[in-house]
Amino acid sequence: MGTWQYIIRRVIQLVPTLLGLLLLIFFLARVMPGDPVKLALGPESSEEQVEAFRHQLGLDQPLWRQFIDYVVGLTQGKFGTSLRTLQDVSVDVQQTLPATLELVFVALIIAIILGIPIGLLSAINRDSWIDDATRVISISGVALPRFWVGILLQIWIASALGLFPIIGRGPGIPGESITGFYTIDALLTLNFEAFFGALWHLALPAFTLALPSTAQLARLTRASMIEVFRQQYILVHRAYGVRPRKIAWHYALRNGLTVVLTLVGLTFASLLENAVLVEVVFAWPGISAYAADAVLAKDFNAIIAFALIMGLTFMLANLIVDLLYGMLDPRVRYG
Amino acid sequence: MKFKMLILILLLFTFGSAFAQDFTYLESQEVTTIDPALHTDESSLHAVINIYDPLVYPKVDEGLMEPGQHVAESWTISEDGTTYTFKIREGIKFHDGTELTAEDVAFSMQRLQALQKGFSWLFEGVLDPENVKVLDKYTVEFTLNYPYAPFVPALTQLFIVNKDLIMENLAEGSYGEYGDYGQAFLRTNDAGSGPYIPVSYQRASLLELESFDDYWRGWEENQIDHVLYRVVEEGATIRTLMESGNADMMDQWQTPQIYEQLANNPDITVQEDPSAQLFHLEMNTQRAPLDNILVRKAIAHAFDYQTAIDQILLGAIQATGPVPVKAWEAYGREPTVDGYHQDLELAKKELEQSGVDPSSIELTYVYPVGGSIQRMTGLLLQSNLAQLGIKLELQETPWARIVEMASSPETTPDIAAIYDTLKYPHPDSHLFGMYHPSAIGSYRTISRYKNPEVTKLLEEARSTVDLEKQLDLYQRAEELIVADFPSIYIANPMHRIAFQDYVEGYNYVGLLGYDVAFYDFQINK
Repeated sequence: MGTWQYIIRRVIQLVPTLLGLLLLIFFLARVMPGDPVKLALGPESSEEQVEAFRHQLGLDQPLWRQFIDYVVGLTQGKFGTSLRTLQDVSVDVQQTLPATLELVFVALIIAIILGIPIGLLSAINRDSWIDDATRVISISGVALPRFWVGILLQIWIASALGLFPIIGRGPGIPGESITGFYTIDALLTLNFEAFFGALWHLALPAFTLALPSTAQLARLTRASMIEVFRQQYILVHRAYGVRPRKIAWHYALRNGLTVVLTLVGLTFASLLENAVLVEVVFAWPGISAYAADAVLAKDFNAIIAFALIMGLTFMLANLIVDLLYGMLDPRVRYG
Repeated sequence: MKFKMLILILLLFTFGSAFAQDFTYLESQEVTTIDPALHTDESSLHAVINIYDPLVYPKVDEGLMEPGQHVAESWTISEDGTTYTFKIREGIKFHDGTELTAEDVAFSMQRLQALQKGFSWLFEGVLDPENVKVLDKYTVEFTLNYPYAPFVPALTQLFIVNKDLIMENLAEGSYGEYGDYGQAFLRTNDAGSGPYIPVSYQRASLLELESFDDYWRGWEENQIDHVLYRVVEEGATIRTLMESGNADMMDQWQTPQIYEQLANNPDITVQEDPSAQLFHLEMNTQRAPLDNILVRKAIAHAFDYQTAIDQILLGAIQATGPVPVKAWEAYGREPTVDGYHQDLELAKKELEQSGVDPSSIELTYVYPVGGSIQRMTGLLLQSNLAQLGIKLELQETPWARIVEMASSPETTPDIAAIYDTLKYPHPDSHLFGMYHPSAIGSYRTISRYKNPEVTKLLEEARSTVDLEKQLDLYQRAEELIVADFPSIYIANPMHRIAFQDYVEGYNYVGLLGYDVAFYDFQINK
């Protein structure tokens, strides 16, 4: 079977998984205790107000009817009205999702370009002081809570030294947004000032978010590489007198990375999950903070949309990782 | 080389931001809406107050919440207290340059009532939309269904929208010829005449305001012409922004500890004012043994008010009665009641006179989930009552459930800890709204208080047009209520806010949102 057929089959498989997720989260969100409509209108709202709003939202319909309406709406790209913003949740998602994805992608890049070389370096210099130093850094990286690291960075780097902004995403790009990613929009419009501005705002929150994942990647790369260094073909290369650096980068790394790649997929998911604390500390206008507020306000349409989008993103990330396996290791065949 | 360029660019940004002259306000709740018919919480109220003009405005410069003239230059009230005629100020311009007229005022009221959200409940049943009449270009008349003394105070929540602009921007909707009443348009645009124009609005992060040059009250030097209203949820981040001088003012929702820390900074002012809020423990007067006034008196005299104020609320003024002291001050009055005080001997005597055996009394105390102050207050009351031999059981209950319990006499708890903010700048809010039988069934009336004499006084007060006579009646009613011990009135807690020392003109009047009108501030650097 070809790669394309494989991709198409995997994409079709997404549909029942998403439907199952929708079914579960739709009913869960509706049986949460407390009346979200009353909550949305404020404690002084009258019975008439609540009834009118309930009718407007279609919440006076039977549950199965609400579900069908919701699915029909979904096919038209509508996620239902948010109780907090009083606009369709799809509009909220458009405004908040790119900010989170941009933060997560940059954090992922930081984790990869720092984590893998650090791990490799430790593996090559195993049991030396370099290995010990990276071990200490890695363990603290995993152990320190993100929100706390974020607050410290704000106080020391942003406030005391004035090197980076304390909060926010920056002013953005003048004109209509194209992708919603400030960095990409800036590059597309060849606005380099805005591009660096966006990166400058991204630096601290992305680093904070990336720190534990960087540490995990470094540890796993180290373990995986040490495993590969024990293989006989490496010994053969050594016996032939190939330079150690060439062995590490050229022959061993590629084999060591397949294991690491699995973790990269998982890292993406964990970054999405953990974005909420970073978003709150850095006042980052992303979807994680939006979803956290939605849960507190029992804004069920927003909760459902968030669960669906996160589910979909997670599944797509897994698919991409599976495809990358094949590129790194020709022995992997899709079937 | 490239690296050097990057450093250079970063440095430019750093200095660029250090010299910017923006006024930055930090708010921890997002700005849910900027539509003046939908707002309910403080942050959206801030947006609306700065972008729109209400019909009447509290007398902030005098430090009073009493409504004074604004868009309405003057008004008259008919002798029966039902017809209100407002003269609209001439020459007020909307942001698009057109003039604000009586037509816009009438339209704004109709829109608020039709949408049935936000503060529309203030006028529900009081005023029917068809009884709003435009008499001429600058005169509008409201005819109420019955006399309603707090009508003018309630109008501090009627913000005037530009009718023509909204009619040009209707989207499909369920309001007939009015479509969606401009809700889609006002989600991101404004139709106001207020001192500021929104130039950028992102609900969860930023509201950017720029001064409106043709604002009818005019502009002076040192006033703020550019505002960044930023949403930052995390208290530690807010503190860092304030201490580093990256923000000029912050909201009232942080913990008392954060204000305490900020007060230590020589460049920051922390202002504390008693709020127009009542913290009290309502007692169900309709169920034994609390239907016995002597038992209620004994409980009120057993409670340790000073400890509650010093140790639990970390500073507050003791409540004198149901009406927050600020609400009387607004009308130039002192409270005529003096609240309750701890006196254990008296409490024991009263309990003895009541004829109820203390060991037979077991009461429930209900407080909302997560309410740490209410919980600690409950523990304090528990230990105070133990000295009388009365048992008190604390029940942490979801807020929605407390509201439900209050709706029927069978489920109404014995005692409930309630925070109650003034709903409109008038004592009526905490008298009629809490002690008139028609209000029974809400969390505000857990005492289920009935006293025919008080009922009569309250009705008479509502229909009395002469303000002084009206206030006399309300004060007489409050005296009778306090003498009946329907609640343990504990405190009017503190309202705290922090700003940089160079900000001048801040005035807290006790009415939600009205203290953060950027037009009132001056910068003196």
